[in-house]
Amino acid sequence: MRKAVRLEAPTGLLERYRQYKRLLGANSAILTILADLQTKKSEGFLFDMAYVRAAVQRLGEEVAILVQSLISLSDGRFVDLETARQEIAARLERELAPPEITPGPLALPLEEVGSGQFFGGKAEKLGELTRRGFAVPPGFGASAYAQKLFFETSGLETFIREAISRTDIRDLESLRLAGQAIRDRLLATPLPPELSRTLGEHTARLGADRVAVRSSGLQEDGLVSFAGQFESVLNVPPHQVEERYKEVLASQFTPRALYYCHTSGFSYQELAMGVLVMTMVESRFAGVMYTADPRTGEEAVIVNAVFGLGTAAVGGDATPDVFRVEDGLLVLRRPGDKTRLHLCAAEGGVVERQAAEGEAIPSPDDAAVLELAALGQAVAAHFGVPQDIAWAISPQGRLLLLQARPLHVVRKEKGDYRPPRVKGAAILVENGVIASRGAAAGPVFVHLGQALESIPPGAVLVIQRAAPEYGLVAGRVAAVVSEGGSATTHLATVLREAEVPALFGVKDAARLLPAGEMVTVDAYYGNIYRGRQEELLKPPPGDAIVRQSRAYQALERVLRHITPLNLLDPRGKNFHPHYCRTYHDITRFAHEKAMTELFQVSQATRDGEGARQLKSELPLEILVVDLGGGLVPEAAYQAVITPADLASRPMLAYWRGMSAVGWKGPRPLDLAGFMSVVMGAASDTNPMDRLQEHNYAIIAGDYLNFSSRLGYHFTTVDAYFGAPEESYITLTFYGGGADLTRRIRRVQFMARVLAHLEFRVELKGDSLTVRLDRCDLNILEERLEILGRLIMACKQLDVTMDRDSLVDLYYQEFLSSGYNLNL
Amino acid sequence: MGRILAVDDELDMLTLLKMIIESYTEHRVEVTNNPLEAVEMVGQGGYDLVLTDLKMPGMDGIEVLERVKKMDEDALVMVITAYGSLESAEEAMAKGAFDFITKPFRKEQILLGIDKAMRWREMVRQNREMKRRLEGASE
Repeated sequence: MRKAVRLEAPTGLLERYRQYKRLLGANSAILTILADLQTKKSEGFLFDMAYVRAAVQRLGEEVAILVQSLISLSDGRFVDLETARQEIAARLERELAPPEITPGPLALPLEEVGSGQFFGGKAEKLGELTRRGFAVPPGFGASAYAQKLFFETSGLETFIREAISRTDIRDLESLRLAGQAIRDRLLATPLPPELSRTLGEHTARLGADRVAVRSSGLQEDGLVSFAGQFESVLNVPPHQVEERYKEVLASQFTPRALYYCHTSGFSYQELAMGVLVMTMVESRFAGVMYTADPRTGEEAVIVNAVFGLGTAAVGGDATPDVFRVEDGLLVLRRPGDKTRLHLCAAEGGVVERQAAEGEAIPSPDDAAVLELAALGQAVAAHFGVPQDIAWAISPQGRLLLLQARPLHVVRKEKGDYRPPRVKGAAILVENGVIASRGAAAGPVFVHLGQALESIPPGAVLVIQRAAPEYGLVAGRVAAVVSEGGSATTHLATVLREAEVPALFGVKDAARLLPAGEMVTVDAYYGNIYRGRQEELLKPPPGDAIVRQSRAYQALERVLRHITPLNLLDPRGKNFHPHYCRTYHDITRFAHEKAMTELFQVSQATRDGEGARQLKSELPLEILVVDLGGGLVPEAAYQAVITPADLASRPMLAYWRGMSAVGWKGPRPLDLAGFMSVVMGAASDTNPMDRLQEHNYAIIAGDYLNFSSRLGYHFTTVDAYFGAPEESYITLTFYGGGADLTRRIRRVQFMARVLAHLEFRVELKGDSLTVRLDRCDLNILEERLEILGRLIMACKQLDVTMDRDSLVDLYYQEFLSSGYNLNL
Repeated sequence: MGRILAVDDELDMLTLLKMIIESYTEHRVEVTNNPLEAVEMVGQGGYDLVLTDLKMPGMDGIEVLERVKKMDEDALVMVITAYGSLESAEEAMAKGAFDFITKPFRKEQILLGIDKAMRWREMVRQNREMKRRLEGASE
């Protein structure tokens, strides 16, 4: 007796379908964010940490939805994926956290100061130069950890926090007062004995009469808004080092810094600084030099010099002499106005002296300038980029380096890099979708299903669909051209990651690009040219400024946990949650498994719950379960429906195909065929049960899972028509009434037809699985209709297939007759 | 060569703006992360252009714009908005902003914007100069 028919789809199934849709939504959002992040990184965009944090957070939320959906869809089978997700999320969080100052030495001699020890950029650079044998005044660095220890053990930490939290950020005066209160408190607080002793020992070891105490901030170069505001104290007697050290620390509590701490929620520790103590050079001449012309980038050394201490030039009290050296020759000497001099005071500190009327203030001679220029070039050569250098010449004529940092040079080109458009070359393809920016040349290799290993290195790979499996050869090919796909496919993400230029959506690429011919893929403008176009192939100049930014470097770090795709092959052994190392891996895994899960759930729904009967001209018992949008609204309360009530796009397409071929009744049998069926039926345990089985269609507006038994074989078609990147058709077909040889001939025939229609085909014995995805919905719709025709045409076809030659005969007939078999 | 004030509570953005503008143009850039200080700095005069972020704690970019405009009706202010906050950009334009740009942006976008603003400023200056001369001639 048939069960009562309910018109609601079973809740379990409906819920799974909703989870599936949720998963697809997340999948598409993730791939879009991935593409956006990669574009922002590689195409010279300016962005800040807020952008990186927000994007990583949005991405994390979508990945969490994706994983939860898959777990719900699979009844918890993929719970391991959640573990993988949490591990990746934790890694990302660590990458974005501000660096924590870890315990380390309180102070080190300059020659032992290296990067990563929290001594600040200035001390680290000078430490490096000292080790390389450059002349740097002897000195030592006090670490940012020393500051941390000082603040934490003295109660300053709490005082500062409270002072910051009490400020009114809408009132500049309140920020100034808080800063003053912090500075006063800091100067009145004694250093911890351990730190006081360390500073004393290092100062004594220098053995200098006077020292310079200068800030060496951890972020000084990066955080320009604070740079230059930190204190530097010159000509300090050794017994005052401790006090001056505290003054330098106190200089960081400016209204800007307090506003930043208050509003960003960061600890002021992010601004913690190292302090540099160097033997004071009572310079005869001092100044700065640039090892390139900062306004033009030309090769030249420009030296600015003042008599006495360099602070005169920095503070604008004197106009320095300017020298320009090109190719070792002094080409310009412009005397400055040096009437105000900065000199060391006998009691410590700096005094300013006005030059007497008619007093001749000396300038460095040509030999000294040339020697300075050569020193500057040696420093620039060591660091590999032009430098901005502070220097001094001692009374004995010795050249010394006081600071070196990268020089910012004015660029001539304002625009984003684009190579010139190629003129005069034969264009083979125009207007491709740029999936991964760049240009490359190589011989064309059209992939027609050969083993991936056969793709030659350096080839321009031409493919029909942007299937993720091609990611396996990303390291080997010069460029990729795909007839289908968009910039948000898994493959596009992988190619951008590997910096392989790629054009997608190039219709007829396989026809337009002759195999073996040398071509240049121009993924700046979307074209493909015949031959090698050298102009395009020059490497683009990188944008060093953007790449130096903290946000860029953070993005680069986080992308390592986001974009690489390790799970390329669903049949590979590593296609498992355990091997998901990146968000992209998780996304790929979840997307692949979700399709299988929904398919299996649909298959398991066979108790008729919520099903309606589909009455048609075809003598088939079909039960339909609607998950939403699969039927016209008027059919909502009908237990029996007709094809006119169908609204599911994939179901309609499939149905059009099935009904076009129609029901032809049993095939004429030869004797062997008859025997074959008898033998086949004899091995069937319960043939009567099978004949009474229903055909099931689980449908939605965009979904179809149709399981049928037409004759003795078993067919399941699963199709989803959503966004093009997510849409697919799969078919599983096996069995039959005839003997195995004839059944195999039938699936061979089907496989040939479907391969011709660009389905990916897998044959095992009499079992056939095929799949078509990542193509335009209209194409999918057309192919699903043809599949409907093929399934109907194949009904009981196996019994007639008594010789191998029929495979080809039927294939030709099916194609030439407009997808029918008029047998 | 112009003088530009950049205001953004995100220090990275300030760093980038300063470095990019100073590397690709001859303009000098002063920066502050504090909008209150920005208003104070503008009050001291001498800026050809103010670039301000819109979303900042304490005082948003719209208020910076309003206060700057109150001090100098002809002041040029370009606002920088976060992605997806076009409405605030429209509000800023209605309140007299010269232009707006959405974060994240390509460096050439900001450079073109600055170029446009500086050319506009120069035109206004020349216009005034001509007017002054004409008035002088007619007196």
